[in-house]
Amino acid sequence: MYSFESKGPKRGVSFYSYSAEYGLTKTLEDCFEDAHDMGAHGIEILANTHIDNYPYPSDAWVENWHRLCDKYEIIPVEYGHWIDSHVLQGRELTTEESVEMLCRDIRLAHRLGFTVMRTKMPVINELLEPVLNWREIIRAALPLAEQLGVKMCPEIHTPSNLNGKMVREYIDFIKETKTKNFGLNIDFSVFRTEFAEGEWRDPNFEPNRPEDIIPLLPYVYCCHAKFIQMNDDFEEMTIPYPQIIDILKREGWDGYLLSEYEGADKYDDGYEVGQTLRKQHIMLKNLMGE
Amino acid sequence: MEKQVIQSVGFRNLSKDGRMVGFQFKIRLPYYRGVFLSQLMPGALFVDGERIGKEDIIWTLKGEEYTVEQMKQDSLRPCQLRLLRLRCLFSYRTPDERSCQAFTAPTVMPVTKYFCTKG
Repeated sequence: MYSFESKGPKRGVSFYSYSAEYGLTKTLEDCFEDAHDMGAHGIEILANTHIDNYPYPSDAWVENWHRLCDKYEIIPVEYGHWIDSHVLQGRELTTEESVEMLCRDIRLAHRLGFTVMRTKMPVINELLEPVLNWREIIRAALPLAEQLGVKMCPEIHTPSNLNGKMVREYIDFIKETKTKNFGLNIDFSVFRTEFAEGEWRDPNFEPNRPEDIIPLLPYVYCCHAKFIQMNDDFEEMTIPYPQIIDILKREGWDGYLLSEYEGADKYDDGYEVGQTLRKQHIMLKNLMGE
Repeated sequence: MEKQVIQSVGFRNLSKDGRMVGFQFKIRLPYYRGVFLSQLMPGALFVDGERIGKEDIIWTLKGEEYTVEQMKQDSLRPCQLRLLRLRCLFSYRTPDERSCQAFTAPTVMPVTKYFCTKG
């Protein structure tokens, strides 16, 4: 099994970035190869997109998965999944049913070698607040997560705010349970300060300052290196990357920055997201001093 | 697989005992994540002005057929829900399997409706 020994922030790629090409012009192996060519050693997948016959992949598929990780020197970092308690049209899932789905994902994540899960809670409003029984669901899954060594991490994404009520409640839960198996994934969209003229901006969104992440870092097991616009000098034009990376290095944060590109232009004919990702990875290398 | 929701390969009429009883085509899920069948909210299909209600459409996933009612799967435990990841087969059979006109290269209008998810 491939291992990558490096302390501090590390470069990775979320395969979500390839959403316009995956299944059409790119296979799963193509995504691995592209990440490898960028010198990235970590990946995030979306379980229900990238796993054949999810949630019950064949043994052959799992075997091939491990082969790809070895061949392309990739660490399976983050397993993106949803607790789909709104999945039925007639009713919400019970807490027990949601826990059953969550535990199934924990086992599958572990089987594929993942140590962090981007656990998407079902939301109940535009502020992305989770269902009211989220504590019961997570609490019931903590023993299994601990046994299998995985950390469930809701993603903190615009328009949520790092200083907001939702994050505070997650941190309170972590302190109360003293768990190491529930934490946060910070999506850098929360730091976005620049918007194009006339571009829609969520009225609930208030940008965080880069230093707002500092008190959360002990609970942050993964970040989404969201980026919107790279220029040809390898600078991101909307998010203060130099300050963010500087803080992560200075604070000794150890983990993966998973590049996530969701610009709508990736769906344009002929667009190659690999080129866009490379620009960002050159920036990350420069900022990390790699 | 092609970029368009409706794939050009696999568009054919269905016949039974020498009579035309419907048609089928392959569709792709143009969404970044796989969804469970129960998360789809199918609508009606219009072919050359003729309306085909969602209750008359059959979805085929990995060889298994589902009516719109069955896709909701209310009676099953959630862990038994089936996932639509990238593609499935979409077919229509006239309810009483009367002979129907052969459909060739129809104009299919509001297909994107089939992929509106709840959340």
